[in-house]
Amino acid sequence: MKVGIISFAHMHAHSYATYLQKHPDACLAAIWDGDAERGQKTAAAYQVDYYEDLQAFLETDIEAVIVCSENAKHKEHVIASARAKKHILCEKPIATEVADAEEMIRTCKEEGVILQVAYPVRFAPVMEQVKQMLDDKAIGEVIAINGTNHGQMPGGWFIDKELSGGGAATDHIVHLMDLVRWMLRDEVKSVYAELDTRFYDIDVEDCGMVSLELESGVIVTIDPSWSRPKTFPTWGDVTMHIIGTKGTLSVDVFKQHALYYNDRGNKWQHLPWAVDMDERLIADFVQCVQDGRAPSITGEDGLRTLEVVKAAYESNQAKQAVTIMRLPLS
Amino acid sequence: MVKVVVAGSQETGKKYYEAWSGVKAAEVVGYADSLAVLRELLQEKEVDVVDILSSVEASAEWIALAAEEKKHVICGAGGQLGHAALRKAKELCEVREIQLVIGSSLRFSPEYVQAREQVRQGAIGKPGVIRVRRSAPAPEAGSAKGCIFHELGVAEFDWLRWTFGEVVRVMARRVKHTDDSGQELEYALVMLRMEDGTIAHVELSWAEASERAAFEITGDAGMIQHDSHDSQPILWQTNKRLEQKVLGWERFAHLAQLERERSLREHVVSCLSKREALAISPEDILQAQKIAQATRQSAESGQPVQLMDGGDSI
Repeated sequence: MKVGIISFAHMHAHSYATYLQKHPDACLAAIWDGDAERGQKTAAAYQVDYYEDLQAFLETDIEAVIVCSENAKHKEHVIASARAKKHILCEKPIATEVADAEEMIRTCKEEGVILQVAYPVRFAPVMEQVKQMLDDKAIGEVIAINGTNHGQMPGGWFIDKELSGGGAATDHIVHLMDLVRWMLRDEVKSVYAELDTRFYDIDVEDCGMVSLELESGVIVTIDPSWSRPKTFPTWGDVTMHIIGTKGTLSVDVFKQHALYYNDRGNKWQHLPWAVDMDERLIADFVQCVQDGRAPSITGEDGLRTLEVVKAAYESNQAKQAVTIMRLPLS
Repeated sequence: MVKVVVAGSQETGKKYYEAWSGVKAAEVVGYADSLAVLRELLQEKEVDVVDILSSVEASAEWIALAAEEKKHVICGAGGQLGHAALRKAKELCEVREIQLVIGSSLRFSPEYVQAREQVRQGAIGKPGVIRVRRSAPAPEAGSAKGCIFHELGVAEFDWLRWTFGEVVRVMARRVKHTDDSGQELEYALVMLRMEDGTIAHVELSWAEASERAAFEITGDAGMIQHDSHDSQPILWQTNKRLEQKVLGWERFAHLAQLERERSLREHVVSCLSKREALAISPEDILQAQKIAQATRQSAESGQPVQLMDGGDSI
């Protein structure tokens, strides 16, 4: 199965490219990139064809695409790919506006193509185990979750609101939100957020805290801050303290690492040894296309998490808790 | 030599004797396990300080009695006194010109004191996001239990205010669950916005198997992390076939608790003899209680609560 990658703006594209090449039934066949220099360089590195023209790229015999362009361009690239009958794996967040996400979902449905959103953390073996434990009622009924998705400040287009749609809140609320919706099969009722720019001299928020109440009454905090110092030994974290009626679970998704004290580099580094979640995400997407089944992570999953991000911005402005009005999907 | 009467049951009194025995310039001259005994002791003996243990119920009456006799007071459960009762006790002690010292404060925990010093010296630069956690097993079913924001929260709120300044806005959510045996779990997630813009998150849990406290302080020039579970210098485990009734780290936690109690008492004795101001005043606890009250109000309304400067409106 031939797959193309639309843009290497998001660094995850490199991981996806690597695992496509490793996959026994799939291969990376073509690259389009709005940045010609980057496109040519990556195409040469992966030994595939580079296309400067998106239409020409979409007219090739690739069956599916992975969209890793800047957040604000996801809509254009997903809709163009859908019109060309390509199945799509779209980097998170699905879009920068809820209406765009809705149009993307509608178009993919009309064109009969798969739209999957890249929330790889679901595929981390740690999270599969956690979900299984929750389903087995290992800690009874879940009543609260205290979660973090911290990171270092990524810079580049991530801090250009026109291209990213926002800062740390846009970048990091969605992963935790997707895990919570997936684990608990629940939706958000109320959102309160305090967001701010306190670490860097940049035009988007670099930190904050989001307080949620779910429809079931479960309470959740998500800390999406880019608060990991430059000296932090890894990119960030995904952690959850899950409180149940019969016990608690402390989850640190990237805990499986060795600690490397690197004298030559003058830094500490985590050396992860866990099964790579991106590899499993790619395998799932490839299988989904091959079997023609519904995607594991749908466009609606992308849209519902984006609604929470938007509500967080609204709440931060109003200094009030906001009740989510979920967009009805046909 | 500062002379001390320990007020409370004989049982817990012994524990506090240990704390006092480490304070050089003080001596315990008696125990009082009832108000009547305390009155008698205060009239018969020369006493400087009454140390009212946290196990004492209705400590307001004990404070009033000590104040009446013009004795300085250390009150372990002062933070759990209601806002009005504490204000009244504070005023009473002011009139009598005696010191009222509220115990159970993080201002005497070395890791929290150190963190504050580092923040004030600029180690992390401009504070950004602060994460704090306080977990404990739920109080036994049927036992009198106050509000989680007050009982677990006040010490955290006091430390945050002491370290990062005034709180302007709070948002809190709380969940409760009662299981079949009548055991009640309670858990709260609190967000504070400080006057200087710092965002703080406080996790308060009565849903755990053991006590745990942690903090993470981030700023634009660094981060300081501490977790009580990751800072146990001794891990004691018995052979697999033997049942271990006391977990290895619990012994050390007990010693740390004793050291906090001793450190507080040494500070009190030192301040009394040098006539210096204490590191914590009843007003500090009253302010922390105001924050706790606001978080409770927020959890009930589902909306943030603004804290006004001064006044006693909440």
